Amino acid sequence: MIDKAYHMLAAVSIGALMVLAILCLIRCIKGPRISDRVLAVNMTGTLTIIMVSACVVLLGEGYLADIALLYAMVSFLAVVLLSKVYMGIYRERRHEQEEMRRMREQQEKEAAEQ
Amino acid sequence: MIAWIRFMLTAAFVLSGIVVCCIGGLGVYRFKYVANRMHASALNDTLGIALCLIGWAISAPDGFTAVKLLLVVVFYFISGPVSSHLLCRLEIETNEQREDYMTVRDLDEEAAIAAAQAESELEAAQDEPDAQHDAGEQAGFDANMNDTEILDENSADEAEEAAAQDGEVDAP
Repeated sequence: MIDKAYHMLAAVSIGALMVLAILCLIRCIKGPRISDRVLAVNMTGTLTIIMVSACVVLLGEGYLADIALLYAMVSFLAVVLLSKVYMGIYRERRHEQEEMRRMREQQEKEAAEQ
Repeated sequence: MIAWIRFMLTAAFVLSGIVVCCIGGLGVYRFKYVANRMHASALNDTLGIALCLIGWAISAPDGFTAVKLLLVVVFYFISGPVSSHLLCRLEIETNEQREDYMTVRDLDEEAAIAAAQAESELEAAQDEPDAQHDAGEQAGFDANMNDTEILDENSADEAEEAAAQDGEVDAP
């Protein structure tokens, strides 16, 4: 009887979290900017951790809690790395653009002198 | 009986956590801009996961597992602000049209302006007392002279006018 109740609770919560994860996936695909996508990935990680911890009680396996902890760490690492990487890419691109503009201005100046 | 009480507690915590998660998820899906979405996502990262994991930890198979589930919540409380800060920094650094959505205050610049203002005020306050004193005395003297003259004239005129009006009003 109580097993059935736990199954019902886990099914309801995991079903709701799955719908939310799909919404986050849509936001991740649609997101107009890169920070939208990183945010959606972070949130999908949170929802997955809640699902895994539901499985801890549903299956009665203690080791799944370790997996939830590891998933939290990996999700945090992913957000930090992605934001740092995209900041670096943006800076590099901007630097390149500035150099191109400077070279073009120099060429124009030389042409005008000639 | 105790098992049922545990189940009821778990169900209450988990269902309220799921409600909070639904609010956060809909916010991430429907809001217009990254900063607004970050607000909804922070709701999910703190209250949603805390309620759900406390609920599942109540009916965990053993105590050690429950402690591990609570450790996940503690880890999220530490790492959530850091990741939000990094995301916001990414957005501010890479968005060139950010003034359309939000105002970013340059705190260094504001501090410099405030310091310059305070310095100029201090200098003005140091210079002021003598100058103000002299100017105040002279101006007060002149003003007094003028005032008395004007007052005399005015009062005389007013008195005449008032008398004339009174006479006119009274006459009929």
